[in-house]
Amino acid sequence: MKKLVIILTLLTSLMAQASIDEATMKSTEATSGEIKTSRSCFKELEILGCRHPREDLDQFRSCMRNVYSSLSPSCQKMVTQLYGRRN
Amino acid sequence: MKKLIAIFLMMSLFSVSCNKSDRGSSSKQDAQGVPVIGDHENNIVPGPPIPTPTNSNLPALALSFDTNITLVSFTAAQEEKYNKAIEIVKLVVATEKFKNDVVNFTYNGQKAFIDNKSRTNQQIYQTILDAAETLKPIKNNTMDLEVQLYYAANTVVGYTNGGTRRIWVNTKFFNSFKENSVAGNLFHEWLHKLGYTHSSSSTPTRPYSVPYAVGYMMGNIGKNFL
Repeated sequence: MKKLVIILTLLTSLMAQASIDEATMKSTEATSGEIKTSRSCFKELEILGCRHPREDLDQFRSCMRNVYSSLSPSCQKMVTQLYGRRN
Repeated sequence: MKKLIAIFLMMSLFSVSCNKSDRGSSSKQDAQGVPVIGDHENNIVPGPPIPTPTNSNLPALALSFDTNITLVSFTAAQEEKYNKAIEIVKLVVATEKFKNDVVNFTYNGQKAFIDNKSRTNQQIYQTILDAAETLKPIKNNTMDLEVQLYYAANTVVGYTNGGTRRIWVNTKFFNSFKENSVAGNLFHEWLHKLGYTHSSSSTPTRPYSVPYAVGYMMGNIGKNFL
């Protein structure tokens, strides 16, 4: 009886696991260069008066579009990729 | 005997009620029009309209996406790290890149995920924004989860099962992951809570399933918010 209950538990419990795929996880982990690039871009935006999206996403988005032309090319590329083209 | 087995089967399929720890992390927006209430038919009860930013192709639900996550048995440092990952999840969902990556996902020449429950990419994106978990089928635009840490010396980053709202995260990886990778794993497991599955073994097509592919999107886009 006990064995039957244990077997039934195992059969009905569907385990969904996320196993590590070494190569893909390495590509997902951020490099120091990527972190530096994004942080410098958000710093540019902060200097231009845009609050970090963690503080106020709506304000950030509208501000970012207003100051877009003043951003460095790499920063423009990053925000365009993340938030779409500035109209 | 038969009744006992039947009861046991039913219990194992439904959510397991666990004691919540004294540590918790939840963030719920006050209404600036967040449709958080579901009626008894699990429909969205509309609140005040959510303003959509101009010059944006994003639906408003992407900007209002919220989380309601309880952290079980976390230290203060672990909680701080996990909360940063949760913030990354919300920031990524609020990007057009995330929407575009999901909607335009292509495998084998077709815009479709593997094991997609017969849904188009746009429909899958909408289920993410609706955030109606299988065990709490209310379209509340909020990720509802419990998270517990554990340790195992294997290759499993985390897991969950169909009968609980809880996900388990392996500290073997959590401790060394950056927050964007933690966010990716969180989103992977949460997508299971929405009903998406993948092969249990490492097949060539598994990376193109919804949990794996969208989890990786979350991790990659999340790099920008570290």
